[in-house]
Amino acid sequence: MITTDRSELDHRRAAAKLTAWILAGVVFGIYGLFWMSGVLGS
Amino acid sequence: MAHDASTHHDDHDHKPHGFVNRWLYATNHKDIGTMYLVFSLVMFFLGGLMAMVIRGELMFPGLQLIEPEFFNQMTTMHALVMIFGAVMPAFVGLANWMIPMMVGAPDMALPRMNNWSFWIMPFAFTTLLLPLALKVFFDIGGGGPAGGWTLYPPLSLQGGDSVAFTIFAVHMMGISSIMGAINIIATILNMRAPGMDLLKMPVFVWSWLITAFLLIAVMPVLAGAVTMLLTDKFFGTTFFSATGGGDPVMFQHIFWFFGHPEVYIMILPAFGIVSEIIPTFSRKPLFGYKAMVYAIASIAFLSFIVWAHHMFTVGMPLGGELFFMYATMLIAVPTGIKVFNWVFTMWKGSMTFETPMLFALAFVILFSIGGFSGLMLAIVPADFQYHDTYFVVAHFHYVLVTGAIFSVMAAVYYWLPKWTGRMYNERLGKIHFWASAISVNVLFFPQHFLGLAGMPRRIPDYNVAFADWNLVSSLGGFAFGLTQLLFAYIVWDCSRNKSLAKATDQVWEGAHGLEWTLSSPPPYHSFTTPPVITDSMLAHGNVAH
Repeated sequence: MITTDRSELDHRRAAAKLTAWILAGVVFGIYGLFWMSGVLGS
Repeated sequence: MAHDASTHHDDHDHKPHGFVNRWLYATNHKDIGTMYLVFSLVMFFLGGLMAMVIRGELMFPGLQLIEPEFFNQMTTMHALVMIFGAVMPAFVGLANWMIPMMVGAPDMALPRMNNWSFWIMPFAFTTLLLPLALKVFFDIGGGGPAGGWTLYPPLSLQGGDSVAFTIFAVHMMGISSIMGAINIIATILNMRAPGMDLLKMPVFVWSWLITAFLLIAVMPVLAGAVTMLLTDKFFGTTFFSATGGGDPVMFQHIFWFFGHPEVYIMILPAFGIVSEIIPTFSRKPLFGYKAMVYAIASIAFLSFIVWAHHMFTVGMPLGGELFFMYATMLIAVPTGIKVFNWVFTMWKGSMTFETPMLFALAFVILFSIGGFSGLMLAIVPADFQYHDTYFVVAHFHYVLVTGAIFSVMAAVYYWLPKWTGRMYNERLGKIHFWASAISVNVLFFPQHFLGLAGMPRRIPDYNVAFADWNLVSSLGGFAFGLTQLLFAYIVWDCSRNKSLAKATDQVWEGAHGLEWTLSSPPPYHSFTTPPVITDSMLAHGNVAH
C-alpha cells in the first residue's frame, strides 16, 4: 500500500512553502489596507 | 476488539526523547495537536471558572459576591478566554491531529511554523490574564479588561494599563491563528496523497480549508482595529474619537467585519466534525456530499456581508438595515441544507448511539435552536427589542456551547480511541453526555425568557422580577460546570489506563477514510511516503472518477 517515492513529497513541500508565502502576502496586504483606510478615513 | 498493527510501527523509533525535545521543540503534528487540545481544555476550565463567578453573582438579585467592576472583568475575560483560548485552539488541535492523517500526508506542510503557532498561545494568554491575576492574587493594578470582548471604544479605552496587555495579547493570538491557517491551507492544497482529489476529501478537511481562508481574511482586520485602538489610547490618535474627527461607530463596523466571520470560524469545523460522525454511526455515506461542501462555502461567503446585524441599534440608513437583515436571513438556506442532509444521512440508516453520535445528534437539535433564535435576532424591528438582552446571551451560547463545544466533545470521543489505542469508558461517556445535555438546557433555555422579559446583559444586578429564572439558570450552570470534570477524567483515564479495551484500527464499524487505515494509536509519523489510495479507503467518491 505504500510507495517509496520520496521525491514527490519533496516537490509537495516546496510547493507548500510557496503557497505559504503567497498567503502571508495576502495577510499583510489586508492588514495594510485596513490600516490605510483608518488613516485616510480619520 | 482485534487490533491489527501491521503498518508503520518502525517509525516509533524517531520519537524525540526528553520533555524539552518532545514538547518545546515539537514539530510533529500529533504532539502539537495534543498540546493544542490540552491547552484548550485548561482554558475551558479557566473560562468556566469565570462563568461560575458570573452565575454565582447572578444567582440572586442584589450584589453578593463581587464588585460590579470585577463582574465586568469576568464577562470580558470569560468571552476572550473561551473564544480565543478554548474553542479556536480546540479546533486547531483537532485539525493538527486529523488533517494530515485524513489527506495522506506525513505531517503538516510547515512543521516548524506549526510549533510557533502553538507556543505563541501560552505567552498570549499569560499576557492577557496577567493584569487580572495581579489584581486577584496580589491586589496590584486595576485588574483585567472590563469593556466587553468586543473592545468598543470609548469604553474599552478607559481600562487603564490592561488595555495594552489585551491588545498585545490579541495581536499574538492573531499571529498564531494566521500562521496556523496558512499551515492548514498549504497542507491541504499541497500535501494530499495522489488520488485524494479536492472533492474526495473528508468534509472535516473541507470545513477547515474554508475556515482557514476566513481566518486569513479577517484576522488582519482585527489586528488593524486593535492597533488603531492602541494608538488612540497611547499615541494621541483619534481614529475612534469624535473629538478629533474620528468615529467610534467605525470601530464597530471594522470589529464586526472581523467578528461575524469569526463566529463562523468557530462553527464551520463543527459542521465538518458532525459530517464525519453522523455517517459513521448511521452506517451510510453522507447524504449530499457536494451540497455539504458548497453549503459551507456559501455560509463562509455570506459571513462577510452580514456584519452590521450586530449593530442595528447604532443607527444606519433603512436600506442598510434591510440589506443586512435579508443577507443574514439568507444564511438559513445553506444551514438548512446541512441540517436536512444530516437528517437524511440518518434516514433508514443502521443507527447506533455511542457517545460521539449522541453529542452529534444533540448538536444538530440544539444548534438549530441557536440558529432559529439567530433568525429572530436578524429581524430588524424585533432586534430593537432583543438587542443587549439575555435573549442574545441565550442565542450565542446555544450556538457556541451546544454547537461548537458539543462538537469538540463529539470529536474527542470519536477520535480518542484512534489517538490513544484504547476505548474510553462508554458508560461514563454516556453519563457525561446526558448530564451535559440536560444541565446545559437548564442553564441557557431560561435565558431566552429573561431576555424576552427585558433583562439586559452584562449587569451584576437585576430587577427582582427576573429572580426565579436566574436561580434556575445558575443551578444549571453549576451542574454543567461540574459535569465537565467528568469529561476531563474520561479523557485522562483513556490516555493513561492500560486496562481499558484496545481499539481496532477502524475503531467504529461504520468509519471510512484514510485515517482509519492507520493503526490505533497511529505511528509517530503517519504517511512518510504517500499511500496508494484505493476506493475502500475513501469516505467520499472513488479513485476512478
